[in-house]
Amino acid sequence: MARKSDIRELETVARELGMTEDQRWEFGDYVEQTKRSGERGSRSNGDFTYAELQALAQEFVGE
Amino acid sequence: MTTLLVDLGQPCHGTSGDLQGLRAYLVPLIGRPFRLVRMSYGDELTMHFGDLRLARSPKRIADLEYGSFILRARGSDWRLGSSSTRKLLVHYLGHEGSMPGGRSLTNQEVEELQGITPESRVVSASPFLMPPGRIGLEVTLSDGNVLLLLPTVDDPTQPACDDEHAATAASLPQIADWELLSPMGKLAAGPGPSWSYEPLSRAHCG
Repeated sequence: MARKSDIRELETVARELGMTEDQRWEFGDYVEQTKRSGERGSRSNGDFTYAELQALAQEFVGE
Repeated sequence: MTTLLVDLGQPCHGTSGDLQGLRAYLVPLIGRPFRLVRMSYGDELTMHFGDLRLARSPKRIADLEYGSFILRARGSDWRLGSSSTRKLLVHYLGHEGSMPGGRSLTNQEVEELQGITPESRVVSASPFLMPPGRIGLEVTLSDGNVLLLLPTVDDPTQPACDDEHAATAASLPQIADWELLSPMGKLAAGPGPSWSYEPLSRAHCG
């Protein structure tokens, strides 16, 4: 079930780090692939908290 | 019949009263070949058309492909199916678990079972007004599949999650109901009865 709030959080984190449009689109897939690889977030459904998304964003732009 | 000149190098803003104008910015999608469906974070449907490229970003997604045209559902409800196959993928807010006649799919299963014939062409892309004042989108493919994007209001059933989430939720900016990224720019519909087009240089600056 798609949650706009999760997507809004992702967008906000991406904008905080000054990601380009392309990076923002790929960041969503990066987080999804992270989740599918077994690295689950702290929320009950395995999604990531805002702070965890921020940490993933730092990884994403740093790799 | 009128001939229009649409300048894809200039930004444009409109409302649901100008769906003809919005439709003009969807014309570049017509005729593009379908490439793939990918479910992104937040269970967001993305559909890729046109020429393919690899991810420009890090190693974890280095082998993911991206279309030159990407349609994103931004959390809106959607339907995808074909009368010839008699199968329908349905994704809508507020529904968890199974329902009579259907079964829940994982994101990977959605990607595998979406059923669109590779390289089938977009034959039409039509916006339409839906209550309460949102702009939906119907995309028809040459293999008979039809995608419907049906914007919803924000999720009212947010889980009782951590205090940090509650604190940030109210401050989060609104996002579009759906978006189309093309080599020329970004078309966004919503939230609500409005739409906008930003040419590539401005869109990429974020």
